[in-house]
Amino acid sequence: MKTFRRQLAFHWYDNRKRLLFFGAIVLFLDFWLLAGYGIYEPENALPLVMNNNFAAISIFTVLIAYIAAANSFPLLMGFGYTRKQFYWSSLIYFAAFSTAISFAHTLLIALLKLLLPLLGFNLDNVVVSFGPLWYSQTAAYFLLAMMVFLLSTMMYRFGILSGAGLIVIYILSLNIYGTNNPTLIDAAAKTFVDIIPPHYAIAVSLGIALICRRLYRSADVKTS
Amino acid sequence: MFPDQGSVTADDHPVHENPDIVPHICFAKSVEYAWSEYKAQDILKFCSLLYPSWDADFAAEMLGRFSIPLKQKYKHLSRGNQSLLGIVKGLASRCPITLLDEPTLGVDAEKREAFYELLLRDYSEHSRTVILSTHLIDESADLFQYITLLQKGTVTAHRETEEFVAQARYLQGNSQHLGAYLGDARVLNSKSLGSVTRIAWLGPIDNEQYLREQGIEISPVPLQKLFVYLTRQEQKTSEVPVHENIS
Repeated sequence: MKTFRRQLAFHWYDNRKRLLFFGAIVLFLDFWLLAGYGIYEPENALPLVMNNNFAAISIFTVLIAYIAAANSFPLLMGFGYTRKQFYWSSLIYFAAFSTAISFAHTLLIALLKLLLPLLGFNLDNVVVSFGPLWYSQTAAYFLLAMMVFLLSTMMYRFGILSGAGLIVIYILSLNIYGTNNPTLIDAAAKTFVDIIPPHYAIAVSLGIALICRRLYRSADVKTS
Repeated sequence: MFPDQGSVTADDHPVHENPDIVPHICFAKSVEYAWSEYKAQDILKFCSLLYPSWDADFAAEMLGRFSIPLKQKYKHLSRGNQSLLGIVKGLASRCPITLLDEPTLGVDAEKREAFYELLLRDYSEHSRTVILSTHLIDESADLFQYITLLQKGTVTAHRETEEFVAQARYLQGNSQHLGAYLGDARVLNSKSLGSVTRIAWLGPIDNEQYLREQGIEISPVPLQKLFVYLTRQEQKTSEVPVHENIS
């Protein structure tokens, strides 16, 4: 247990500065959107902020998942941790991060829903359901983190080409699945995260986690 | 890295992917590529988070003596400072088994001396197994309790230092007296200058008293020289076709 705590502390320390910068930029963008655009279309203010934040958090999730596979793996191996320990700590970290960041985002949206009308924004009938929004976002970010983790692991283990090949398959698959599926969060769905309902997203994430486990069992640590 | 043959054990337990063993082993390399994008201070923070027995005071003392710039990224540190940061990790981790791979690569003489002092002092205060690989053999000879000679991936000798050094000696004196020994397989090396010859002799000397009486000086072979001679001899042996023997 102590080993896991140490590793989670490592992940937190590794990403905390990035998270602070990222948070500051996202909040700045939210205020900028509300002040510069939201006042002209107040009924769209909240969806605008949600979409903006969803995109930003997705980019950040991609970043930390990539860093975990490409950088944290050799780093933790060098500090006397096993592949299995790294794998489980990364999984727990992604789950904790997805839960925490979606909670923060949902909280922000709920607060804005309360505050914006006081500032004169007419939000019409925007419904923010705290639990489902939190859950669906958690599932979405976790799926995204796991997909990028898998992709980055493939790139780390088998080189850029295998990673690029996987991206191509991913994009082609989107065209097949994306057409007739209702979107979950964003009307302009462009990724699996937008297409797959939350409970399926969790299931797919766990499936990807199993593949990652297989990949990490025999992963060499690159030394150059 | 995965073993293709053999096994590595610590306290009779396999090391590979063993969560009960690997936390007690610290492997400090002279270059850590995974550290490239991090500042020295971040790397030390990682050490403090990840090593259960990390000694922050000792790390601070070493950082002071080595004058490592903490705010620079690892990839921007000099070659010597990169090695020194590896030393800080290795010694302050307080792991019962510490492996230092070429720890003094690129380190200047004054800091190498400081490292040797710190290593000896720390070892006397916190006894543990330190495995050190180095090409600066003479310089670090006083540190070793055991010496292992690796040649082409094979352990060809593993002995206590005194025993290792005692296996060979220089015989120096008149070329006429020593000429009779030159063809012996136990001669690791020979040099002649004028009428004086010096040979490095491997193994016990039966007629030591007699040789001294003949004016032959007998002295120890420095460790580094011994390594060179043994390595060369091994090469010679391995170059001999299998059906022949050196006699």
